[in-house]
Amino acid sequence: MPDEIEVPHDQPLTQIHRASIDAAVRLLASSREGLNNNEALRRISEFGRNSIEVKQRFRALKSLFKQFRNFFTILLNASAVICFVADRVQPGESMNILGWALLGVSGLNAIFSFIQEFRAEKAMAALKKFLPALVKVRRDSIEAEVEAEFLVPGDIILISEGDKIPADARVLNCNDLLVSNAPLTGESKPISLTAEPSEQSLTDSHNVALAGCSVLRGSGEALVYATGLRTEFGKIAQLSQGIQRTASPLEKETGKMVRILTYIAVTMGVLFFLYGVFNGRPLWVNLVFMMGIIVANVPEGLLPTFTLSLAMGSLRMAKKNVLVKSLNAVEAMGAVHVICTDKTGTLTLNQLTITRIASGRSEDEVEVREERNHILKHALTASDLKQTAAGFVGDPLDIAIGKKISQDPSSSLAHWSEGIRKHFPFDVYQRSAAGIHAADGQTCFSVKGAWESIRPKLAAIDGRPNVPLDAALADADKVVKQLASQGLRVIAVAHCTIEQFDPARKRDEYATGLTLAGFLGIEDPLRPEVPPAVQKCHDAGLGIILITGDHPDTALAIARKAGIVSHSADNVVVTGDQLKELRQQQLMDRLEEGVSIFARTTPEQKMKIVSALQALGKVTAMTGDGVNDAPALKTADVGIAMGKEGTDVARESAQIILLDDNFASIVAGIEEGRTIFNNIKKFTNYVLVSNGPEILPYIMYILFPIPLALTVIQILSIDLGTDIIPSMALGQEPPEPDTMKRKPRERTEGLLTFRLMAHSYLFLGLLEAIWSMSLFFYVLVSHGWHYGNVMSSTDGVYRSATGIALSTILLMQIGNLLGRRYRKGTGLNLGIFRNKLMFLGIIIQVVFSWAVLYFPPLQVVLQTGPVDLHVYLLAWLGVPLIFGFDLLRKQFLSQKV
Amino acid sequence: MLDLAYDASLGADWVSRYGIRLAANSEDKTLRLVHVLDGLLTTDILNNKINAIEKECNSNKIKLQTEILPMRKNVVSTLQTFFSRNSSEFILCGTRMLNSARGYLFGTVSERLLENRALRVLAIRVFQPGNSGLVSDMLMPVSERFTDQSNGLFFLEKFSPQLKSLHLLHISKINTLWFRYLSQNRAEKLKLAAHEYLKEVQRVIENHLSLQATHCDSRALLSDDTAKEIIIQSNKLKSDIVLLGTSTRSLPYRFFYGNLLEQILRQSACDIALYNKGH
Repeated sequence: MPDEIEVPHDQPLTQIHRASIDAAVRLLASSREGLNNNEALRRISEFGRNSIEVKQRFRALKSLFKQFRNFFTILLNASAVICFVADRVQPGESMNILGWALLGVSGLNAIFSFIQEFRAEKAMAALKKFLPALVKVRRDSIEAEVEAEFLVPGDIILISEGDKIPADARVLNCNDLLVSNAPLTGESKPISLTAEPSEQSLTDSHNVALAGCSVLRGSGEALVYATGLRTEFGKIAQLSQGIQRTASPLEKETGKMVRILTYIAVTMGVLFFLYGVFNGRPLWVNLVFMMGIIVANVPEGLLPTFTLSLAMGSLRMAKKNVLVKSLNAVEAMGAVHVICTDKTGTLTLNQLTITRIASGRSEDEVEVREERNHILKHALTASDLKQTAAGFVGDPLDIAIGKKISQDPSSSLAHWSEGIRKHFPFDVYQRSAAGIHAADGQTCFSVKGAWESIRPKLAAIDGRPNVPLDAALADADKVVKQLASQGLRVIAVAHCTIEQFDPARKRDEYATGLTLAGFLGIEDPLRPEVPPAVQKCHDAGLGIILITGDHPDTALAIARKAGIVSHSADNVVVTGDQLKELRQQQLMDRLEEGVSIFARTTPEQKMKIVSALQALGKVTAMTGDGVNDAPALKTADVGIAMGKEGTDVARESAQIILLDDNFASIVAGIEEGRTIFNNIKKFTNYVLVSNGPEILPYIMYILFPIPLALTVIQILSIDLGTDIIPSMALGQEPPEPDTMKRKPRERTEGLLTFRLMAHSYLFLGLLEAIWSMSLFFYVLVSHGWHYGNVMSSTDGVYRSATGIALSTILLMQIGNLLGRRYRKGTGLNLGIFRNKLMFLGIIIQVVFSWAVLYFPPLQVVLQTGPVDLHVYLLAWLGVPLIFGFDLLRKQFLSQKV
Repeated sequence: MLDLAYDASLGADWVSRYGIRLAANSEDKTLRLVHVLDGLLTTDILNNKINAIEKECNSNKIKLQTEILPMRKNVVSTLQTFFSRNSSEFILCGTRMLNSARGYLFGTVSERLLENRALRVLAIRVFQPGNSGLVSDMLMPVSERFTDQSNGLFFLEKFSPQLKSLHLLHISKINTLWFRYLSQNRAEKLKLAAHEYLKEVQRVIENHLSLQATHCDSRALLSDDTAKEIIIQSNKLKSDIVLLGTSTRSLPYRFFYGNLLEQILRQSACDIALYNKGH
């Protein structure tokens, strides 16, 4: 029973990784025999199951409810209710049909958004794959397999090669235990675990096994100290699930636009309703009127068109190797101010290449073949390389060494690997890997790794027998510095002769009195398409921030080669240690000063950088590939995961997946995103123009004793009918030539600006309204109508008049459509047929403008009637009229600029 | 001297480690363990447990005083009577360890002690027993009422000798209905005001405490879900503990918005320390 444990209390209170084994066991009130089953059950009820899933009650319901909270949906639903009331008050006016139509539009919008948002949480499924289902545990001195979910703090688990670690645990004893912490730290090098107390931080200490990681070799037993969401892995899971992506710029813009349009619609509707009431009009007439003015003001088709436009944009992006998971990310890419990018694989090819073999004397390439081979053979001894039919298999550095050797098939090194007896994998604390080679009666120990870790163990340097060691080391230091300043990752290679290979001896026992063979200069070549892409970013006013775990000199060198910073740039690098000490405000200051490289950083620090950039008001895109990148990918405005090298967890957490892991594809995606925003602006402008001729008849109807020129059904036929295809066509327009020459738009720059609204409502909208109303009155007057005459809605003349008003609006929308294509010129020279959807849209407008007047079934539905041909031809005059006036405006503005 | 309200559960053992560390920062380096005999434990088990705590105290050079009280009306009233007659710097207790349907705090002795404005109380929910009460990184959400007289400052001082980093967090709560429509300009203004407020809080803290060895940072956020934001920030910052003030909310508020403390206690992945704002 844990209650009866009696262990010596000889240590001050300390954390579990710093404590001795006995103290650690005592901290968890456990024993080496394990908990008993009753205690384990009790702890399950106290701490819950070892599960990383965050249960959210009523998630689907909440999500669905949220869709009905936006202004647009509330407005449509409220309007529908008014329609049903109006139908009850005055039946026979088909107001109930309108009510159902409005409910339908609102329901479709809400369901569409709900489906978008409530996708199955795939990131969680991907995370779960890292945890085992069963685990071997010791309870009451009996070892048995239990479901990993039932582990509790204080349990003793037994782990061995191939196991996944189920919970965070303190190692109690181990036998050559080697684990991969890659899912958590992103560090691909395996780590040897020990049971000794550690002075490092909890997660960095080498006596803890972390949940989600895997055992590569050896075996051991460990004391569980954290389960479920309390594990480091659980925290990542919770962050990944808990962080709600901030609304994309487009979501905010559309929210704002809907709010403004709703205010306008409701205010106008209510004001004129009251006006009608005070003027003694019947209540139902006022209700119908209010409905009309609200329906006329709300562009019902705009939000579905947004979605369609984004969907088509995502297809175009996919052709550029940018796979979009969330539609809002399509436009968010265009709003990006800063790209935070990885180095390896994104800017570089992720193909390590040895571009320099240097001695300890000089940074120059070693020319003597024997000396080169001498360095390479010791590097090969310290490598774990396998040759298959497909090529070399192993660590990228080891592969680079293998490739370098294979470039010279006649070399004496071809069969060297046959003599390798033992490999010591890379040790993250010693920052080196080693091996033992035995052949022809000679056995040698070779080591390769960071210069700082090998230097203290050196007793000599090859080729410098007569130089004092201190002086030779100082020269070697200079060589290392020179190579690093050239952007090369420097690997030192050393060796010593040993008497005999003894498999029982530990690595440290060999690694003394080493002789430096030389250095390997490693480079991961820059992707050739990166410098032009970076230049494009600079032209487009985009900031690029390089975040890497590499040495600052290496990071700076690659940033210079890529053009991220100029060759004279100074004070642009911040290391992970410096970053740790910076307050958010200080980091924001450094970012504003131009810091654009973060070196020796951990993946966790990405979130700090993103938060600081967002606090500066920057829309940030962040790349990532590891499990521990998932929270940062969700925090960023646009999370970009790597399709080739990334983990499933990163891919599921991101909005965008780069299929080729290439930086240039991000830039292509941004260009597409900007184009989409421009196009959205164009079709918003287009759609709002028709609001003018839809609103004016209602205002005139309430103010003057004249018939209503446009019915609610006719308005809906424009907003939800003929305007949709032309809007989609504008959403497909290609990028304008200066798209990537303009600075990114500010977060505060709205989609619905005053200028756009004035242009839509007060200029083009008014033109359409005047011309359509003129023809409406022309038909009425030519058939004997006098000012003040009341007309029945079934009157043939009235039907012909409303028909021509509708037809004129439809035709004038063609002129409006052509004028929206290009901000400056006519755009006619670029051809209508190049955009097939636009051509189709125009055909629909033309056919519909004819059909509303002359096609009987449509006449019945829309309550319209025919007009004389010359009147219809007059309606066609509206096309050049609106196009011409708008062209004059463009020319006037361009002259002014 | 500080008091430890000890019920001899496993959770209370873990809270006692906080007691030992906090007692090390008190003048007389004394921890007074107060246990009410409620009949749930045998004397042997209780003595074993107290002996274990005493040994830990000894190895950390802390003097342990033990008070075993016979139960009067109930545990709460026994404790309250004792604490009102025998003053100390503050009372340390633990929340419920079991995530029952009633939550972690609701209906517990700790909740009743926290509600008693005459007592200065710190209730801790231990999530990371492996840390054994060591607090290096602290997240401290601050409300609009933080003053140099607040208990928050008092408890921050108690933790400060071990702190390596302190993150102050101010969350401006925005109604859910308006949050998504908040304009960029309005958001910037609110954040600016929050930053100014945090600067003032930081100034108050620096005037009263010596935090030279502590990395201090602050962040201001706008959110429609305070509890969730605190949980996310504590995870992001890898905080060891969240130091949080409690306040009494009305029933309608709890009905519509839920109990923020319970949400934080239920979902956080680090230790939570709750202090009452009275005294």
